Amino acid sequence: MRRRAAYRVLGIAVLVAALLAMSVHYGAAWADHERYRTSVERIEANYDAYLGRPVYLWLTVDSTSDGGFVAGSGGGGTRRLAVASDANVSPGDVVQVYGVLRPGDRVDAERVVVHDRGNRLRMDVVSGVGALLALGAFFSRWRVDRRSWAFVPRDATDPDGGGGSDGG
Amino acid sequence: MVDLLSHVLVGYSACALLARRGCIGDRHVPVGTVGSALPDLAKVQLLVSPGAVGALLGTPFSWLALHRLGGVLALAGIGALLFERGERRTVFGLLVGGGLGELFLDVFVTRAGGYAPPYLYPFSWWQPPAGNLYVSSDLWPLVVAAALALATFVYVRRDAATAADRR
Repeated sequence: MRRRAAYRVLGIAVLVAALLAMSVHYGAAWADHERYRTSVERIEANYDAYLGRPVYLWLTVDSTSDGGFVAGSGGGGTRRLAVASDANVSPGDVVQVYGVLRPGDRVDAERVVVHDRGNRLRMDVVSGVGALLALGAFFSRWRVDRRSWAFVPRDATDPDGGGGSDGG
Repeated sequence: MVDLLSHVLVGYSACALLARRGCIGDRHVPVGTVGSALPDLAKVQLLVSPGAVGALLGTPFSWLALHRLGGVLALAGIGALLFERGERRTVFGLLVGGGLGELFLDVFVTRAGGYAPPYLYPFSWWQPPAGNLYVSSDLWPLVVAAALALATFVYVRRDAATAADRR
């Protein structure tokens, strides 16, 4: 019994380590592999390498002006890019920008996808509801058995988990 | 990625139908439903910045690995090990199936760059063309998912009642 528990813990530790390794590797390698996608920080670190090339960025709009808007990474960075575009955006909107990087922190946008600020807030709230719903449904059917420290059906006497089908 | 509730509702619909067909038990329906939300664990980046983790580890870091095939497999493996032995195979299958379902739906998100992310990582960096069907903050995918889940719920209830009457 103890040996089995040790194998479980070992298995979980190995998988957590694998997740960490993938997160580190992905963080280091994605920009070399993903088509066009980059970040303001990467452009800032090596502007000349991106100059005149197509770039695909996720940005947060700071301000708008005639013929475009100014946006940054939204992650606390200070570098801002002036995006030439006729897209209808407002400060706070998150935008996907695909275009060509020009001198002077400018991007000539070929395509802009706007994620309206209000819609994103609603999406976050709705996602929270989804998480609560999924967890609530799960714990209505499963509980933690304190002897084995494993999830077991709440009604272990019924091979179908108790009662007829109610679809969850 | 579309909102998590839409993924949960689609996952519920698929698993409830599988349970009705007798492929899985009723108790497994919420397991598959949780599986359909697994890749969204990458949203932990809203709470814990990858930059902060990277600074702590002294290396670049991205939570998006959780939203890829390798992340789904590892998370499903961890999830399966949290269950008793006799349940692990089914749970693993449902968590992986749910996670892959989410990644499949996410291929249809609109991308300005024209390509979906490399969802097969770490097995491949291949990027499928983006489906450009909806923006992740659109409302209509949620409406469709809710209608699907409601229709499934009603069908499953009626089918179960009919089966009970026959007995």
